[in-house]
Amino acid sequence: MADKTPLLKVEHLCKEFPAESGTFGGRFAKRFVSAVNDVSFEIYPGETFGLVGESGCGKSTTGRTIMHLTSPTSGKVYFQGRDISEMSKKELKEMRRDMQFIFQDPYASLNPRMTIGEIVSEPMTIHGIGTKEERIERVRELLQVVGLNPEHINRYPHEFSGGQRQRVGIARAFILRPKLIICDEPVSALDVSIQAQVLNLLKELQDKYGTAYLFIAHDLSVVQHISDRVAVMYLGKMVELSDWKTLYTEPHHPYTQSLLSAVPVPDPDIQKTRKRIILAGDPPSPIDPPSGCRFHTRCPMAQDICSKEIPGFDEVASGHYCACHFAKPFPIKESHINL
Amino acid sequence: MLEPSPTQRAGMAATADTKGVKKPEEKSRTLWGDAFKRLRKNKLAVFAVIWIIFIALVAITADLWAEPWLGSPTASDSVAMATTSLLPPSAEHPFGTDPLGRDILVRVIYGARVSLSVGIMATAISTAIGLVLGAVAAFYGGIWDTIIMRLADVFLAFPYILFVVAMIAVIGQSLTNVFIAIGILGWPSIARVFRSAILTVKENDYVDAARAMGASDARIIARHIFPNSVASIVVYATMNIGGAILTESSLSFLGMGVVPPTPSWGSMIQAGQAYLQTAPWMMIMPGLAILSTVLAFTLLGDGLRDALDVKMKDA
Repeated sequence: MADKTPLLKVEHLCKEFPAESGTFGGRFAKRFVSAVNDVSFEIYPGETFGLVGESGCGKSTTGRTIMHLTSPTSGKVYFQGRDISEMSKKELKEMRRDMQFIFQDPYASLNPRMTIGEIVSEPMTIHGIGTKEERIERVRELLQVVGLNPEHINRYPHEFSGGQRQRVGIARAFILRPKLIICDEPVSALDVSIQAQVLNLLKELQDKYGTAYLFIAHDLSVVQHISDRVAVMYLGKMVELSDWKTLYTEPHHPYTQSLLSAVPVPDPDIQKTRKRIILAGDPPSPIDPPSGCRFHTRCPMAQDICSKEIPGFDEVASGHYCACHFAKPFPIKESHINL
Repeated sequence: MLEPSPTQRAGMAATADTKGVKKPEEKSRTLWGDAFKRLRKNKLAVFAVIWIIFIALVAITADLWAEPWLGSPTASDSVAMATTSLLPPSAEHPFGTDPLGRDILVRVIYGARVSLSVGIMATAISTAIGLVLGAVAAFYGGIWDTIIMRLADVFLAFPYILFVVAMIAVIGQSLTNVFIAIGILGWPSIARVFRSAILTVKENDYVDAARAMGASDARIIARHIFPNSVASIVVYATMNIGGAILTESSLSFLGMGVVPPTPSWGSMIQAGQAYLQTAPWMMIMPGLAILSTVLAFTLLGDGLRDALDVKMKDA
């Protein structure tokens, strides 16, 4: 992987939101929510990069900031080697042909006043690609690919189920054959049986078009199913990053370890005897994040240094990064993980 | 739909660049078409529409038949006063007559001109102002939002009728000034409704989706935000027509509306007040006219709200 040039490069990305809205839209707010703090990673062409963490840890904000739906407070995002924040409006629009987004909520992400055909062809319309007939033909072709009936092109979103709507969203994301798609929890709003179908569809489409995914989820088993590499976030910080096999069998960070130990195992004997790490309390507020390592308030192995010094995001093995003063492998037997 | 042949396809590809952006609008059903279908199923709304159209037609064509049949709505001559003063409803004067011997029906018909034109013009003025200010507040937010919405609060803090009366007193008493006074003072509620509709719609993922696709602000507003927020304004404006008619009636009742002898429903009620015991038809007839017309606009607004909700099933 390392010899290839990255498709997307995120460097020290930070995003803060004003913690009070106030009379002037929070312009003079004194306290900030630190949603994303110093996050760096790279995504290579055609790979799936999983991003996991509990709700509120900043994973969606990371995705939205990369997409430039919100601008970063500091840090850089490079897409195909170019800094997104320095792009002109025209260049940004051009860039968006190659970078698409799949949303979490299939009910909110489709305009109820537009037909499926209009929704799926909208990226083509915006970028002025093809004639009306060509667009319709491309939409029909793509509806077929994502498993929808092309005859439904003139229907409205409310005539479809959640899973079907998500397929419409996927068709829309793929119509321009982008190089990168940011999937913001694309299956967490769906039933488990539908989740598997949609994940398989995403995999098929990736094989077909060679698209790279930034796959955001809070469910480790969903991420495992689809990802090449996985990063774990906690309270706005990336705590561990590795290829998924290593991360799932040899997690170094105590937070990753506790997450993995929380995934239930279908074998009751193993489930009874295996060692679980149970975290006490709730994640602290991102308005005043804990000093030093943001995880130290809940960490089972925290020491004095953890509340004083921010641990670096260091390479503990080739391609394996971990932000912990006491990073050490914590092997998990494969039979103990439900993968 | 027929699949185009390969040669046709090649032809389309050749014209692709020259044609540029064109909307693919091959819809089998449109939003407004669907809404109209649903509206037709609502009996009350259909009745309201028929009633409004009936009143409008009667008011517009009154010169052709009402005046020759029932006499002038503004006449005052001593012969009429002596012979036809305060007659109860009869075949000749279906709604009865007033102390000056004028037919009440013809005055109600001509009063409809005043009421409908005030309702529509005043609502048009307040909707125009309200839409612009509401949209600016919602889109630009921040300081603009603060200024516009606090201004709206100030306007709403005044007792509405007193405010209108004061304004008429300043700019003078005429039909046009009634339009202006009611119209200008009616913007805050329209602005509030439109602002909140836009803010709600703006939060939806499909707006972000359009932005992520590279859509321009103009396209996002025209294709995504406006179509999803306009329904509430259509509904609100329809109901607002009824409200404006009521306000005009109150103004005329207080003697601050249109100048006599031009008939207005409000001033007719005011004139009938003194004869409540001897000639109750003087108050009842224009009162029924106000009631039925305002009710019709309210029912139509209700029906529109249901019809424009896409999530409603066709059943």
